[in-house]
Amino acid sequence: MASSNIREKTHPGPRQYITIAVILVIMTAIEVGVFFLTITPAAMTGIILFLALGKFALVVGYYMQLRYDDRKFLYIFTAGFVLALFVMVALMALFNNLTR
Amino acid sequence: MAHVEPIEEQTSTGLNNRKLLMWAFLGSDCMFFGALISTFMVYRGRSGTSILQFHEAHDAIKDAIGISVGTLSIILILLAVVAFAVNLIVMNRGVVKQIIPAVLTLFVIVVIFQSAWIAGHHPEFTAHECTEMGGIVLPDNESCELILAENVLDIPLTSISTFVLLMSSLSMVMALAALERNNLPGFRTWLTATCLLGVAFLGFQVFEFNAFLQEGLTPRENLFGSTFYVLTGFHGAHVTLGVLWLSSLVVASFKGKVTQKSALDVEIAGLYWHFVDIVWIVIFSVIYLIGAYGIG
Repeated sequence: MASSNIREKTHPGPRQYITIAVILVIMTAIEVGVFFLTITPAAMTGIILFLALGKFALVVGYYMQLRYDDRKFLYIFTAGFVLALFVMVALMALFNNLTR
Repeated sequence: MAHVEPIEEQTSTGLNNRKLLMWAFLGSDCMFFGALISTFMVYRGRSGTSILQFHEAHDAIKDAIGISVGTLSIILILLAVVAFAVNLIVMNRGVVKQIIPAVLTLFVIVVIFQSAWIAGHHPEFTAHECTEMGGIVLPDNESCELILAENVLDIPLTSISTFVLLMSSLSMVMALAALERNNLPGFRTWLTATCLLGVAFLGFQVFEFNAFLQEGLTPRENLFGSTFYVLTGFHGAHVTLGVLWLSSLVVASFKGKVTQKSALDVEIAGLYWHFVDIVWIVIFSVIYLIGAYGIG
């Protein structure tokens, strides 16, 4: 609990925000590039999911500042996110979507 | 960068309640979009309507009773009307007592009639005709999928709209950074840019939906249409709400209601906007890239 009315925190600055944006654009470009490559669906799915997860983490961590904020925010958001992932995997497994 | 964040009030968690509520909402929204995305993936490649199977059932009934299902349903409707009139006039039963059985009977008849209409009006394809028309015969060998995800999803166009939304996230954090430095003109410029980029993204979505409708893909066409429009439509609704929210902040800043002290208000709006962005990151990757790579 905050002991005073003022709290010092360190957030990223504009230079870091722009760097993150450049990384996000490059990752998106790689995703689209992989889509047009002739590779196996499994490899393509793996690469795209990995890049999507990376982009997700960058936006949540830096733009939404969860990396710098109070851990309780992280726990609350992660609880919903993990539950959502669990529901997705369970539903797709139930309909044999993971294996076909 | 170090900055000073004023805490408005003491709470039992030590956290700002509004920010806490926003994070809780975003966590719950993860589950909402997770359900929609997984529903799309579950039905991926299963969009073919079993029209050939239905035609077989229709023909079997016709062979057995000698009349078509359509004619049968019209006879049933006439019989129901006669029975209703006999009950009412001859047996002198009250109208109220007849409502439930009458509604149930009519419901069954309408279902039969509608099914007969579908059977009579849906074109029947052979496997060869299905392939000739650019569709595929689904693994059950009795369904034809005419509108395929890989045929209608425009990856280059959606890549541009994805870029637009990513840039809107950048302008959003730049707006917040400007406000924290008490740079109000900078804040207004960046936030207006965010709104315009959001509107541009919605424009792309409207263009895409219109193109799909031209292709004949409506929400009622098949499972792909239903799940796709519901998912991307709800995301579009979130973007629209975000644009309205951010626009109201721009207007409020001109009225002097948004200052450095209200940076937390802007931060909370920004959390919502970035969430819309991360949902699109997942939709673009899973629905457009992975979804369009395979069938359906």
